[in-house]
Amino acid sequence: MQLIFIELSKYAFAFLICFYAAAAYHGAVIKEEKRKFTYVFQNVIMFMIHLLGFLILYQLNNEELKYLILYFAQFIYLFVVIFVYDVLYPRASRLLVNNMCMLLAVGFVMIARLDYNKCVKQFIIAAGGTIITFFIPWLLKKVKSFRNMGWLYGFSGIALLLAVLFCTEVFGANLVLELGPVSVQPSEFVKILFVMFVASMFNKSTSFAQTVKVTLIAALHVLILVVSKDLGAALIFFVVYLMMLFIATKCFWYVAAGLAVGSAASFGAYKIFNHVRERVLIWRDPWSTIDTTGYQICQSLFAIGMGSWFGYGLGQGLPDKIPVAEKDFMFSAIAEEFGAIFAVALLLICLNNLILMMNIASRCKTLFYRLVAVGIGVTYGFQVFLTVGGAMKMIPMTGVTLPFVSYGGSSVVSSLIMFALINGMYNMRQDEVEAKNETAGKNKKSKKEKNKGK
Amino acid sequence: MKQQVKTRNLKKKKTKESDILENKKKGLRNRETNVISFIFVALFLLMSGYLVYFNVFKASSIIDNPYNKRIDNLENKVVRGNILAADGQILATTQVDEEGNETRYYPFENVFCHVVGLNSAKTGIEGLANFELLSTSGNIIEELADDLSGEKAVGLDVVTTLVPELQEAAYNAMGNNKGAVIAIEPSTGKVLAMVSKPDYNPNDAAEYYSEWLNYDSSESVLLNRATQGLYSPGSTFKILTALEYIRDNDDYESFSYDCTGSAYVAGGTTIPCYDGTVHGHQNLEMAFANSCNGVFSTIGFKLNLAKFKQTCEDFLFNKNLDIGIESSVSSFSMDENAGISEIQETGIGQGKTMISPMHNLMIISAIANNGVMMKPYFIDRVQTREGSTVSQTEPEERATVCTPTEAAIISEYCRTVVTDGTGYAFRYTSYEVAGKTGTAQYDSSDRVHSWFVGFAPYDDPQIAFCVILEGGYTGVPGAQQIAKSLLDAFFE
Repeated sequence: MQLIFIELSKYAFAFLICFYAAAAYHGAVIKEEKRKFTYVFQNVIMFMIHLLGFLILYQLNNEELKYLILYFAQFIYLFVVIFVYDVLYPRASRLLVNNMCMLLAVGFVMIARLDYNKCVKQFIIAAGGTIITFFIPWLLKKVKSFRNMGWLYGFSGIALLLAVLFCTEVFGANLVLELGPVSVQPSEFVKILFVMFVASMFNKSTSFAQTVKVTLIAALHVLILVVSKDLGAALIFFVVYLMMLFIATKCFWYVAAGLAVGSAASFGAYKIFNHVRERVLIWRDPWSTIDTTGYQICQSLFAIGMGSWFGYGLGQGLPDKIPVAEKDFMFSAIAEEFGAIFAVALLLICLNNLILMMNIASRCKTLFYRLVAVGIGVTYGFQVFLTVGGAMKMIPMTGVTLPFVSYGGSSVVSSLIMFALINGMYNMRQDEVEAKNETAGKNKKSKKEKNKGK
Repeated sequence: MKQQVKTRNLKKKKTKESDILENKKKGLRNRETNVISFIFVALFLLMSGYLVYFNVFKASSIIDNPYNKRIDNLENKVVRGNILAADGQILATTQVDEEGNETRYYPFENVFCHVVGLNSAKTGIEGLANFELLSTSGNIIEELADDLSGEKAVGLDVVTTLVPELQEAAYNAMGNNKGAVIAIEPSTGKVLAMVSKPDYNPNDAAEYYSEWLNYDSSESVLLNRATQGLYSPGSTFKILTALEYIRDNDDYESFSYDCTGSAYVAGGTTIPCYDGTVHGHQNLEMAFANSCNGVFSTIGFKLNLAKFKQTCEDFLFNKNLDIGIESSVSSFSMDENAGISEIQETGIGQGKTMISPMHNLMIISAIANNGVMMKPYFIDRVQTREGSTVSQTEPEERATVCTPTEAAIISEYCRTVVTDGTGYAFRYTSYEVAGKTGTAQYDSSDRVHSWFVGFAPYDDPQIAFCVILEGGYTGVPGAQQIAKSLLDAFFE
């Protein structure tokens, strides 16, 4: 009977998330006033998936009460997140908030399935992080000088990266900083500082001299990351910088030149650094080193391949055979137990997030905000591409996490901050509209312009 | 889109700040962010497409891997299917007792032990077809019905290419000697029989497996000598030496040499003919038939050694055989920098050259098949318990190793081995055999490995075979007699 329940749940999961993804895209194209039903529909599906997932885990683990307790705590958390955004920031993008909660819920289920204690830890960090990030949209609106602190972002970012490099070299730490009982992965946060740095510098000026200055600092970031062996982050920084440069200067040739230099630099890195070459070799042929370096990616491919369309069913596969499945290979673990259809729908939800971010970027009237939105969007989208493409062996594995879904405190908190920043911009953009409408009533000239606009 | 329309209604906020964008060209203002969106839409669609492509085209071959422990997990849901001989006899089956305990049972006991393999160790066909044996027909309704009734599903059956009569003939002929016998169909690569000795009773594996693991490699019963054993090829290697001579010397038909029973080369060593036989005047064909070491230890100096190495690698030396079950890589290392005694020894199949019996069989089989080497295979088809075919293996060409003309010349030489040379055991058989004998020294003692590779019938090859008897064999004069028992059974 239990097996039948799991067997049927596979199809339920796949259909539910497909409906959710469809609602997310439908919601993005209809008028905001008509989205009420979409929001509720999405939330109902999210809670169903979360409930179904934990019911199965509860069943599979001898009906241990702790699974139900964790479920209820998370249920309340997800409910509060949606509720608080709805009340405090009604103009924030509810679609983005819903997507974020959906990804968190899927992540919670999968992490709990892999390791209950890690799920508790992830949940506590996410809840703490959410409470802090509740203030971000408010701060963004109040503090206008964020855009003027470019050098501060730049130098603190570099300093953090150097600290990591130092600790990695000296203490053999793996890209983390130990601060008492907590270990932080600074590159997750430097991503945000980097975006803020580039945005604020280009906000000041996009002259050639300024561009050269910013490019040099950006290249320094990437270089430190390559030397620290954090290739995934290095690639993300590089692509994010190119895209922001493109938005700031609207010059296609800068991007082309950047790509050319980037290709030459990657070729150089391939020649110079052993760890770069190794990654490429594993990617090209993991099978000949299946016992050692190729083990992880081969296990990942087994997981995805065995999962087929509808997956093995939650708790039925062996995702724990993939080393660090809960971080870098979360996508493979999900593909194994939930199937490829679910995994594709999950990808579409991530893409939906990116489109929502680009949407607000295009509507920001301040260059600084527009650049921040683009930077965050590209950071997010490219990170998803790296982790999912890497897990499928479409591209070389770079060891980055799937935002909100993967286990990892730094990853989830930095993702929460990024989404809060985006929501802050949604929040402000509509404030601007109201301010405009008010002035429009008083100012005849602007009224004329409004009519022209129509 | 509507949101974008709406943004067009916005007006530039009156402000002194310089960082407010001037959106005068309304049609173009979002172009850059749109470009980025499109790039990512393309990237994500590519990823989704790749995932679908992976599942449709690549997954089935990737997951069929002994390192994939997920397959073992299927054993909780599926009763492992049967392994059947070509004629339908059961080679391996799973017995379920009243309490639901499963035991893998091998009715032929020792006879098929290496080729069928052990379920517990996932060797042989048990490892090769692991995924198929644990797969179900994929009928969802049937699976749900099994699920409801609490019964395990039944895995698919695998029909092999193995012929029990041939297998038993080879197994019995080997007696207690160490070595291997393999037979394949040259035109397709179907493996008809594969015996390795010493052997073990797979039904005792639960009890003795850990003990078997501790045997020395020379005594190991678990080692499949047919595919994993590496031996000096001895005179069987003269097939390739002769082929290279023909390729490098257009006047090979006028080759001549006077054998005095041994050959000395200045700066090298003295190499005697087998038993010190004096062969007298020899052309290439007779030297091949008599396996004259005088000829083949000196012929190396008339070869293009770089090309010779290439020829050997075209014949899969230094390459993975890729036959699906565990196998060793044969090695050939001589190149244009070789020393004099290395050239002497390599020409007669001694020296550093090592070969697996399966590889030696693939070489003679390619000669029998007009120079086309077929990929050996063990699984003819996969079927349901009711007998409906799920998948059928199609013969596959591994490589074209020589021209039909070259293959015909070597075939003819191999025929002369039987009619006029060292292959005396087949001189009066009702079927016409072509082949090459070999005796390989492997240490300083007098004991030698005995080889025989060949095919029959000569003018229309239906079976190619390879026999190796490890040194110290008793009860038979040599590998030829074991090959004869096999062929007698085949042509019966």
